[in-house]
Amino acid sequence: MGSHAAGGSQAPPTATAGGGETQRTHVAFIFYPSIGIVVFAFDKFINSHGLLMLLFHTNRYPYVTGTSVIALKYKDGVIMACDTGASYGSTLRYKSVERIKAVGKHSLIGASGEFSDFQEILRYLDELTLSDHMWDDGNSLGPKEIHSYLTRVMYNRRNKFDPLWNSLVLGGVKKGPKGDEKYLGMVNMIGTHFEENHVATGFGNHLAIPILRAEWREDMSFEEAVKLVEKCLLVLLYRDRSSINKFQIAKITTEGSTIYPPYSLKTYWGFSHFENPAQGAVGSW
Amino acid sequence: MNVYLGDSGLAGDCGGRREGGGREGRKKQGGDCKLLGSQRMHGGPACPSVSPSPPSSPLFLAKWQLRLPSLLRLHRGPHRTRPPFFPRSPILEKKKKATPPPPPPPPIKIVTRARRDPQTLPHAGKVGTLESTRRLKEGEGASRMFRNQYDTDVTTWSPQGRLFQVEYAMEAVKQGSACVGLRSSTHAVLAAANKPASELSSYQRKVFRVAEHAGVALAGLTADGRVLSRFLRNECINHSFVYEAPLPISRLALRLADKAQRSWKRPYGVGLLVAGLDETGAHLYYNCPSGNYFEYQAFAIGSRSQAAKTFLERRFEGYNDYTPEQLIKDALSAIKETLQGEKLTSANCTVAIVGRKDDGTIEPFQMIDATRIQEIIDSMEAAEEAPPAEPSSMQEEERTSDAAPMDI
Repeated sequence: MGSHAAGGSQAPPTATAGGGETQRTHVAFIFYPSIGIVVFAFDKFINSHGLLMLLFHTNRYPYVTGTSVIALKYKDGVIMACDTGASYGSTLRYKSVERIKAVGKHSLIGASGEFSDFQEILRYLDELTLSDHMWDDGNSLGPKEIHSYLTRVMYNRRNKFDPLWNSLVLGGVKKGPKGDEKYLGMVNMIGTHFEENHVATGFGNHLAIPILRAEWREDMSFEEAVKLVEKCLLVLLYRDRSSINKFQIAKITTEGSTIYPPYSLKTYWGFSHFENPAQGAVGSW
Repeated sequence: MNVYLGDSGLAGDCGGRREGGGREGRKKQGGDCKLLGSQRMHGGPACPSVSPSPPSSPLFLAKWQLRLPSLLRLHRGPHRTRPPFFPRSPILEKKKKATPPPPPPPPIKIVTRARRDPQTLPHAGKVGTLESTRRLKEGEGASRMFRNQYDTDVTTWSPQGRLFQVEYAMEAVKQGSACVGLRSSTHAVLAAANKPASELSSYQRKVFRVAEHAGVALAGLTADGRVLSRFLRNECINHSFVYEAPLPISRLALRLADKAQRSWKRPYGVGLLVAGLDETGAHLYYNCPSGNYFEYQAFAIGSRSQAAKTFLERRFEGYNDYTPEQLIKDALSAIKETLQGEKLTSANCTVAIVGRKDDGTIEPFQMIDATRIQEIIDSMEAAEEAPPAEPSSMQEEERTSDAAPMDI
């Protein structure tokens, strides 16, 4: 009846006396191609993103993030350091966040990236270490085992398009058959993992690693290691906009782990350019 | 109660029923019920003759009652209709009574398990109730155990608190040929006696490698043992994959024991000696079909294992400090005890070892090859180290210190 059946009509056009044929074709021009477009778009989406993206609400963006963590092996064990800030986008929102934690008797874990995902990882590790503790059979999880476990977790989450948005640093010392074995490794949100003498995450990759590569030596003493770490942290403080001047250093040895209270580094702003910033500026007023 | 037969349970015929039934009667009398007309057959649903009240008592019918074809209404007068189905002629009824009632069906024979009178058995007087089983001598097997009504199902307890199916599974372990395990603080050794099924066949494999750091020796149903070995290998591999570290032996033994607790399956008829290396040193566990497992310094299972156990009991206290070679020699001696006079050769036995070497590296689980075993046997015989074995026939008391297998 009339031309009301055109456009977004849901029911197929019914045959009416007389103008039925033309109505059907009019609807067909709009209805069937629109289905085709929807199917085409859906198909493209599925092929590029995967079915899981439709089904699950996945974590696509980090919200509260921590910045870099740096760590290196020294004579007695492993030293790890980071700042205590967590940013909400570009706001330096939380200023007393502990991003390095002890795991079991033998390891330290430090994380950059989404802080809530780090808390979730700590919960998983809690379960692991608790069941180990309840066994009470003399076996305990060393840093290598925890690193391997975290790699599996991170990689599997990434495969489900729901990553834990972190770069993790795992360090520890465990008595092995050949004596004390120091271990330092890193896993990131896509499951890349490796073991190294010195690691850094985030901006530390660009600013701290070159310093570490130049100045790290085997068997540094604790004081030397702290000096090197502070040098890297200072560079990060000057150059990384999301780091704050409040740092925490932690170490792990065969005796156990120690996380030192936070402290600040002395910064120097007495450069000549800062004294009279408008000196070279030319303006009409 | 069949309304069509007019079977109201009374003396029962409609008063107007015709004698002599059949079509003839109907034709004679004109057939249909006079009151209700041709649609209402005698004995049909509207036939008042099926009313509960006796048909012979006359009732005065009011006019309105005449118009209602109600089942409760009686009608007087002779019935001219026949029942729609079977004739209820008294002649036939008489015939029915004449035939004797069919004989009752023969009682169904309930076949029960033969129950031997305990008094006729050789050990009469030594046992109490029918349900208790005598502790058996070594090597006798289950054939002398009482069968009882609690042993069909693995989910049935006996009044004494025993699960007989599980105990029978443990008997199966005793049927297998002997296996021996012993350990020091750094090494663990498993040895098995090879008994070929016939002269033409090879022997059944009894020692399996489960991971680089662990292996098992089994006695009992080897098919079940194969299944369990595969399970253990799987567990070790999964743990290695996630943690990149060997599965500790106590946790391996626990997983195996958990697998025995399946109520819908028969118990696994195989006992496993699980030996392996840990962070804390070498360990040896014995896993029972009952799901129990214990750690041992040295143990022996299978047939004629009591002789080996006696041998090991005398010497186990020094095992923690033994070198691997000493452990292997003791394992071979223990196997020799179970062979009962047969000559011990490298064809008769399998030996495997796992341990941690002095430099800290792991010595992976592997069988020792036959030539090396023969060398060790030869050196043993030359030195005549092992004291003469006590014959096992002297072992009358058997496992006196053990409680019933479930009593833990």
